[in-house]
Amino acid sequence: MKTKVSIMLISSLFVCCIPKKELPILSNYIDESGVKKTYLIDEFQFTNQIGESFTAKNTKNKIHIANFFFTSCPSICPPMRERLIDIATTFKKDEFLILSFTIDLKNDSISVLNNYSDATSISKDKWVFLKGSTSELSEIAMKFKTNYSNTNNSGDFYHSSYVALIDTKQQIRGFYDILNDKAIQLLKEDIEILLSE
Amino acid sequence: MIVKKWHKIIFLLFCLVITSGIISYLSLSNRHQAIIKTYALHSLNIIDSEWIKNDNSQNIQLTSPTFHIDNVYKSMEGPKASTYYTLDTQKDNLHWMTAFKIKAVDPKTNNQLSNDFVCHFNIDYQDQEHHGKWNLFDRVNKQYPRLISLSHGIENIQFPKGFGFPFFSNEKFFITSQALNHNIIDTTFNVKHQIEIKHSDKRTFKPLFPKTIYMMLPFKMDAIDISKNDIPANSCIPVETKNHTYLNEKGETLSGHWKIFKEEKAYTYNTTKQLAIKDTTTLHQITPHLHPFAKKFTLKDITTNSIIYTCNVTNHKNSIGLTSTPSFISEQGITMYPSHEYELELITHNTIEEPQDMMASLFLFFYDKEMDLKIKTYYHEN
Repeated sequence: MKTKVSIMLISSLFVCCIPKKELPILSNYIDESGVKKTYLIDEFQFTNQIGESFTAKNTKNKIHIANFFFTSCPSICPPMRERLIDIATTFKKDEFLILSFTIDLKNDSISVLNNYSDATSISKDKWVFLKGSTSELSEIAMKFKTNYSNTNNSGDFYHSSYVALIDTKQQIRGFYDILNDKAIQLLKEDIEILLSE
Repeated sequence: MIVKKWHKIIFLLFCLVITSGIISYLSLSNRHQAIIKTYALHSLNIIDSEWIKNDNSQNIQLTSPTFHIDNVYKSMEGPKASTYYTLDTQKDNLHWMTAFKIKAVDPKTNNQLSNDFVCHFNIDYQDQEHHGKWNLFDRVNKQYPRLISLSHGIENIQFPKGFGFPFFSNEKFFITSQALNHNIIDTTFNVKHQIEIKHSDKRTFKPLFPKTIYMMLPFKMDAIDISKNDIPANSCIPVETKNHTYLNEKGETLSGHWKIFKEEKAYTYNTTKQLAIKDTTTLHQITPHLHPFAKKFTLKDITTNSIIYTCNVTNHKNSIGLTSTPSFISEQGITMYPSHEYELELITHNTIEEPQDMMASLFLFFYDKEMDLKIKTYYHEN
């Protein structure tokens, strides 16, 4: 009995001594006057793939990743989709969500988004496809520190292959290139860290 | 009796799987074999698979996992490893990277080995973290976020005095290192790469903005040698395309990699669009990235017919390899203009029978006036 207790105590001590990885808080920027500003992603309103309103209230107390895409994207979206399916099936807890914002406001209607969502076979509560107005989209892109172009002249129709990781307090905790295997590994580790906080 | 029969079937199936595995492995390219071998050796802990990271107030030191060299590995074929690096996730202080170095070492003794076993090491910053911090969203997604690549022939560079690349201590960098072996075929051995990045938190630096330009040559897709077309993206040329093929505005196919045969040959490429200079600026540092048998690499202002930089390459005399590809460094800088046209000129001289893979890129570092103003304001407030 004594031996068991000693082993347990030593193990607990050992676990406590391992430095816990802490993720930085990245939802901040330096404004025009040189002052560091922090912000939360706590205000947005979009429509999801089943035509319902989806706001920042839906992400409160949940961990989520967010990316930009369009359903007819021939290049980086198909491999991004495969990797996001993998992440959605890895993290089945209700506390984890994926948000994908379409940048093709002309062609990606709600029904197109719904069909795209059906093809992923992931629950519509888990992976939410969102459409908003041009101004809402550009505002949320700035909050996620990215840009995109949806003027399909001269092939200038692009978005990033990065996803942002947001914690339960609606702060950005990391950016990950979803096309990079190392980044996916890191993203999964970091989601685990946030889920265990 | 039935048990024995099942044993036989399982044994035969096992042999079949092993045989087809060996056949599949042997049919792979040298590069893919190296990926599988390295993965197996690292996963089974036969060789060290961990990165060692040490940093202090002036230096970041990274030691790569062990690379097992058992074959000739040309550029981009050898064992490689990647990692993420952050100086301090819990601090948000402004630092400056000022110099970079890589060397090959013996994993057991830590003694320096020949840099002929260094293919390259790359540092990529994270677009959204780096530019987003300063609200410079128009810079996100505009170019591949490679800070620098040090490669065979140039294993040590520094920025001019008073210049640096600004970063925050909680900023994440993606680091890749790859081994090389052009010549040794009669033995197997292990190497590690030791990377050193000098940094400072002094408030006296001017920011540099990195940009990569590279030779691209037209080719016909139906003439491509697919069996040799085995080049991973983003190793030598930082772009998001498979096998370094591009379409220009005329619909022509261009490649950043090509074969050179036994001869001396000159190539030119108008790099004005790659440079995309918006405002008159100054160029302060150039780090070339070339393959063996490159002879001379020049950046020209063809509007004024003047040479900005010439890299006179020294190749090894009795083996394949680059002895030196000198960099350019200038505190004063060279002025470059949005209205001017610029050209890259490369002279190669393959002296052996076997065709060689060639590419040529330059990592350029310009004074970043926009960032400088932002940083001055930031320092004033903090």
